[in-house]
Amino acid sequence: MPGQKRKYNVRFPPGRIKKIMQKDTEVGRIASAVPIIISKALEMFLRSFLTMTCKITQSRNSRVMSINHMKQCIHSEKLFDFLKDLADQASTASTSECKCQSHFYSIICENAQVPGKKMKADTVPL
Amino acid sequence: MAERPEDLNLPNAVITRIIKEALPDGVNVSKEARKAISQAASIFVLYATSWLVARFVLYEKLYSGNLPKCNLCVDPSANNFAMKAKRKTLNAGDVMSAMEEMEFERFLQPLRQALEAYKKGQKGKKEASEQKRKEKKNITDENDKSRDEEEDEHMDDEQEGENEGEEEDVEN
Repeated sequence: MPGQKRKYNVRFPPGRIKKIMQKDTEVGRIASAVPIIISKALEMFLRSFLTMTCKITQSRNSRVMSINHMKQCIHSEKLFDFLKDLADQASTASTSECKCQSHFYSIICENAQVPGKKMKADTVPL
Repeated sequence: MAERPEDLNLPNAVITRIIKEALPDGVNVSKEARKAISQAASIFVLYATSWLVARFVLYEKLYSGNLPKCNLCVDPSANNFAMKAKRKTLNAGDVMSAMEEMEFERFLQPLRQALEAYKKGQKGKKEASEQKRKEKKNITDENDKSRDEEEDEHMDDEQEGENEGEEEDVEN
């Protein structure tokens, strides 16, 4: 009997991961296993991040995870230091005023700013 | 629904599923927070990549000069060595090391398992396609005596190796 597929496919598309990686100009060739491993690591990272943030959400007796809970989580964990810019900038109305210390968030900002780009409405219900 | 070539966002559907699985029932996520999670995902990939590259560049510098491997010390004289890379492809082993540097050691075990599963899957596919190729050859060479069959197989292996240069998993 063949192994059952996971109920949810939580693997990120390897091609997309590779594209993001190639934004770093130092990156040359990438073995095919790399985006697969990064996808798995990403999944685990997001789970950790969500779980830790959720603790804060619940400690505040809230049922909705908000940006503030995430900010608090980022600032309280050394592991999430690389997200500090995201925490600091996330609540600004416009992403054009990006005073970032690390350039990761600015790369994401650039992508969001391109004129004519219509951001997909995030209407997928949870 | 054409995607812009520069889209650095990861698919919302996958992010949503991960959120759903990670959170207990009854807890929802604000729209703003959902967007931030998606951005955090992309930033994680960039961050991991920067570690991968940093290690890789250091590795190149050290090994091109035939110095003993030293992860911590950066010998200034290493800059004088030729930058000819012995290895040009980032591999899974580099990712494992990067995760350690990023202090995500607890990810290593599951990542190794995922890598093993992936390798097995790839091996299975490779064997299946080799098998098909063999069968085709047997049919076409049926009239000839099979004296060249072994040689052909070797050639196929080499060609496959060249074709999959970029895709090759380098064993660590």
